Amino acid sequence: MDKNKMLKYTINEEFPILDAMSLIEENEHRSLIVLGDDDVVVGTISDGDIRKAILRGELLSTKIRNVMNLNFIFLKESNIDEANRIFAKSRIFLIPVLDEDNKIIDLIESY
Amino acid sequence: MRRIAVITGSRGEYGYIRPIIKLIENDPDLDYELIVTNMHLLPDFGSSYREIEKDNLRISQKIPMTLAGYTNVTMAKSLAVFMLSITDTFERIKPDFILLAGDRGEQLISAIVGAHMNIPVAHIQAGELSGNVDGMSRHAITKFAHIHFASNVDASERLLKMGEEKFRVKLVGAPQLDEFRQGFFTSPEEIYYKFHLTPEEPLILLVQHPVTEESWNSGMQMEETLKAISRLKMQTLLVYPNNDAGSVMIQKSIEKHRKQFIHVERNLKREDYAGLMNVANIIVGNSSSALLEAPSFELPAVNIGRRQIGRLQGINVINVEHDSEKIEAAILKGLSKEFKQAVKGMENPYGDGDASQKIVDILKNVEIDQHLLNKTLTY
Repeated sequence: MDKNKMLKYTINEEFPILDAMSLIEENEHRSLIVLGDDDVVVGTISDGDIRKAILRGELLSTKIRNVMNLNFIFLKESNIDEANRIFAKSRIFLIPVLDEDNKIIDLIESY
Repeated sequence: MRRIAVITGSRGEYGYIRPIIKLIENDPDLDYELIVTNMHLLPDFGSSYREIEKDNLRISQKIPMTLAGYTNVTMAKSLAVFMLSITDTFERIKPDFILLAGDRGEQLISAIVGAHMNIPVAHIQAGELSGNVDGMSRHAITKFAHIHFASNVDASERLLKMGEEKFRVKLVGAPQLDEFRQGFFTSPEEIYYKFHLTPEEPLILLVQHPVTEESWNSGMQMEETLKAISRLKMQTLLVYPNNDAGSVMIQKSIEKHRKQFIHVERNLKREDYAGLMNVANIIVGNSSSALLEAPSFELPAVNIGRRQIGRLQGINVINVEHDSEKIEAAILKGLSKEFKQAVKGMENPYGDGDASQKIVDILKNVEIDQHLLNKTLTY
């Protein structure tokens, strides 16, 4: 998968939420796809998730894995039409495309 | 007026005590001081103290105690932190009674401190067996407690055999069943909507915690279970494990082996958990709820490994080792028509729903005197 997209839109679950905030600030898609070992997608994190976490007393050093959203929308193939339908009806801005083992093979961004 | 100090450290035993606190609240002769600690205060486990606040219960003291790491070492050391704080808290509150529940370390520490400070200790879910350090803690609590609330005949007999005086052992049933009796669980429609479940498909509820003395192996154990689930390809709702040693390995195993039909939840409200038991077709893993609460929903259960070993079971429970093929076969058996028929109308061996009132009556009326405070070991 496109290396630039990976750098811009994904982050490892072991990083602190502060790092997630600065990546989100730059990517302008209000969220990130969270990866575990071997590029497996384990969750998503949005600026809203972080805001809620901070309001309930989390620190900027809290690991992403502890506040990420565990249930997320994904596609099994890079179907742009389907992705646009999802973007239109739900308030998400990134959709990971996963293989059978939840490994990320592509990522579709909203415009 | 009697003031009852109640200690809760996990969402598990909070279910036992909530109905009791509600009754205390409505009783002019009783008041409560709620002390909240351990997992309730940890974001990793959903900061469930907020659930307590939403229930409009008054928290007298929060005691953060848990050191990071969730290993056997940090578990033990965290208890030392708790012991320092709870002593000062009891000294400040000066309760007439300490009410404990279950088998967790913080409950044991509270019992030890209560006994030393000459405050009577009452213990819910006393005398049962559980298969790891929790089981040892439960029986240790018995030695420090003055009143033992047993949830079933098996447990009350064990308490007597442990050398406890008969007047201290009260057979009351399991209080966490009381709220279910009163229909205190989320409706099926709301459950399906909230957790994005498909009502037409069968549902597996999966809850697997680490077993403390096998914590090094907890990741592999989870893997066996997830392999079985993966082969079955059935709609599954998986609940994150508690924070015992081995928890992170289970979480990692879930991340690695999670299939796309597995829905994961970090922390569930009690009424949602009960609502899920109500709509599920089977519960799989090693949660005590498979033995205690599931019978009230006539829910088949596959109980894996040692965690619940020796605990009284109803006919809904199928026991199996950590082996994916055996787990798969057990799930299929539990889902079969014959098994479903067999559990229909079953009796819950842990009673059915008036334990809280019995417990509150005893806390209110038992004489607090030397007879209660000076324990004689009969054996």
